[in-house]
Amino acid sequence: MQQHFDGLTFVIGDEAQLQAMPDLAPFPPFAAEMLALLQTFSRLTLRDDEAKAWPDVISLGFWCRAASLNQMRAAYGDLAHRYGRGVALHIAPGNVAANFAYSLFSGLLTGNANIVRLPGRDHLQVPIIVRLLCAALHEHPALAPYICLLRYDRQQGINDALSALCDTRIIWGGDETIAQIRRSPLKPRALDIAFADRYSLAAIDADRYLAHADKGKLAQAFFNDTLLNDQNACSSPSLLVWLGVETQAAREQFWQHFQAFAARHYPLEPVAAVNKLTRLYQLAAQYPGVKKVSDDDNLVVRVELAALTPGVMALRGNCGFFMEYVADSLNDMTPLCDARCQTLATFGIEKTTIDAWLAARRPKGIDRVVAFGQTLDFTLQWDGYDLVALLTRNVANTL
Amino acid sequence: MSLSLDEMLGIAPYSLAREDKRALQLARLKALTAHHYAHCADYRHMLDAQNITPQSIQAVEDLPFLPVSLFKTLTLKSIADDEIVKTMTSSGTTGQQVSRIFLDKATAAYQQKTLVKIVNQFTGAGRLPMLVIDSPDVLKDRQQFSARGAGILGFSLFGADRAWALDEQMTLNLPVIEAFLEKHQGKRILLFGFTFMVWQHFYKALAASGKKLALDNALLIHGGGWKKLQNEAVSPQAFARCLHDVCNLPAVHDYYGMVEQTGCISMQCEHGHLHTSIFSDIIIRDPADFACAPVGKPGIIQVLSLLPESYPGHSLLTEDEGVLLGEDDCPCGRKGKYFHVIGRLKKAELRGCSDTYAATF
Repeated sequence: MQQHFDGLTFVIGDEAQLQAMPDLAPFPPFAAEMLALLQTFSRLTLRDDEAKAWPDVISLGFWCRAASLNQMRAAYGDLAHRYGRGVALHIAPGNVAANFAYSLFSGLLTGNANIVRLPGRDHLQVPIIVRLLCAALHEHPALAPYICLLRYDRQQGINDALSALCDTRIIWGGDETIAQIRRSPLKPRALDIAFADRYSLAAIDADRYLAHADKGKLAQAFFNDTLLNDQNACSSPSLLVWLGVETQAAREQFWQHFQAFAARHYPLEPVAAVNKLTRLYQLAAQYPGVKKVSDDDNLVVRVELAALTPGVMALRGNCGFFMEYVADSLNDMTPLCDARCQTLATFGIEKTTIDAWLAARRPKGIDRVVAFGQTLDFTLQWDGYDLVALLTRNVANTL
Repeated sequence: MSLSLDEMLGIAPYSLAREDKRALQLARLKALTAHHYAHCADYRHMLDAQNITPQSIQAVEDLPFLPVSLFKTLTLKSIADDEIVKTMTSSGTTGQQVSRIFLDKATAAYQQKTLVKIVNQFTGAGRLPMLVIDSPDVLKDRQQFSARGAGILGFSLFGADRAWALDEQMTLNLPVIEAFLEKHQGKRILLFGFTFMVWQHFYKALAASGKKLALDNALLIHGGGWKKLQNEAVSPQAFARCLHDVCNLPAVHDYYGMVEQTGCISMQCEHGHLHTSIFSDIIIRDPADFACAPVGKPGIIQVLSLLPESYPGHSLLTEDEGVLLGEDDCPCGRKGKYFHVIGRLKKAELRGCSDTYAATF
């Protein structure tokens, strides 16, 4: 097949290296060579002056520390007969600067060669990560053939050519992107891992919250879950469900603390104020009975729903727009937990309670249950996918 | 003080001082709010969501305001379908959602009459020979009035004889223009067009041709957003100066208006200030809490219009940033608030997991 790569810009690697990728021998997952590369990246990142200015780059550095990688490894049982599937093609999202690196590192940790389409937008963090990665590769030259970073504009021809090369295609960035990339055929045995548009919820026990000692810290944790990225990540909660008895008192305190923290750390864009008012009105028109419960401050706009109707999540907002509902039990939430529902962030609710509810109601959604403050933490179990399982193949040796 | 809109049409549009204007407008705007509350369920639900009742409104500043973009996603009207005589749409590039504004006979008539009242303050009472700086193609589909088409049709009220300065390809039609000028030699002439069209297809083409048109007896009214020109770093002053260079044009009047409040335009006076008439008002809102911003403090522009009876568009929050310059004291002598439009609000940066690979195309 004639492949054309006109219009590709290589940030790491070149066309010859790209063409040779299918011939590379995959590594087993968590191979010593790969761990060494990522640890070097971690070491270089955590002492880099430029990286220090970017919390997301530093978080990435922490993610690759030896202890962290060992923990990931330990979470898996026997991986002895597993090997990387071959070439992984990553279509990184254009809007989260460090996400391409997590996707790439997942591909490396599972033993694959990796082609990464970098975000088209110029995030200042991207060149920093690329520089640190080049420096790490310099110390591990044998792994250089396993990484190609490139950029290109929308071109079906390039999507076709890259898709024809790969064994696994990882598409981040939502439904439209997935539809576009899927116009390019894959090899017969190749797999797609598609990260579609999702939404996320939070559930909080009012009485446990009122008893909680460090409400300021919890506000900060919830801020990191939401406003740190304008509440735009799929994993950022957009609806809070309140459980327990003293819900009114708990809500007042919770939002007071949150507002106080956000006022110091979140600059409200004027257009966000307009958009949040628009959202309130769209919800009101479509779901009569909703009430605005926040005051005139536009930093945080809160809307109380009259019922948890499945369609309501299509009107979720961002930049500090929260829907709320006071529920009798987790069961009230079930209608919202369809296949679009990704993360449930919780405070004060027992793991066993959640497990019992999930087992009894078996909703199609909710792929992660995490504590407040952890909704954005990337793990190898993401969006309901086990990336280690999906990016490797298992040799069934029954001898 | 309470006057019907028909009675108000008998008052000179820039003649009322602050207190008189406020009293007149409050009565009409409260009545419109109650009217739409009663006849548009979506509007009622929006007010209910904030525990606002039409009766609770004490001042013009208390009126709830709807973001203009709501007209893109919701069908907002306070009339039955068989009362619709015209559906106006905003200009939007292909694929974008457009606003839809539903007009009945009364509102459509008010829009026309109000526009005449306002613009006659600048053109004089009679009709003028009118040169439209656009292509006749823009009026082809009369079922759907685009903002451009609606603007041209609206302003055609002021033209005794209409000619198109551009052909179907948007290129300068010099033979038509010259014949038109020949025919109306010595008369006052009205030029009308959308800001960017005037700049791109009239001024630039004229400058490139080296041709000098004699329009020293004409006035230009133009509007429709400065965004594209800001990208080319053209200031309103440079715009007027450049036009003067190629055709001796002595008077250039920008206007601020939107399809959601057709008829109620704010015209730019000789001092470069946009003026609200007795039919409209403007409030600048602080984005932090939507409080009213004082003179000199920029904020989000809220526009009020006394006209809309067929749809709940009498109080709207735009996506434009502006600043109030004063009230009743412009050196041009016109009463009412006068202001400056700074530009579109900066779009919030896309971050997170939304669909941006596709969006970059």
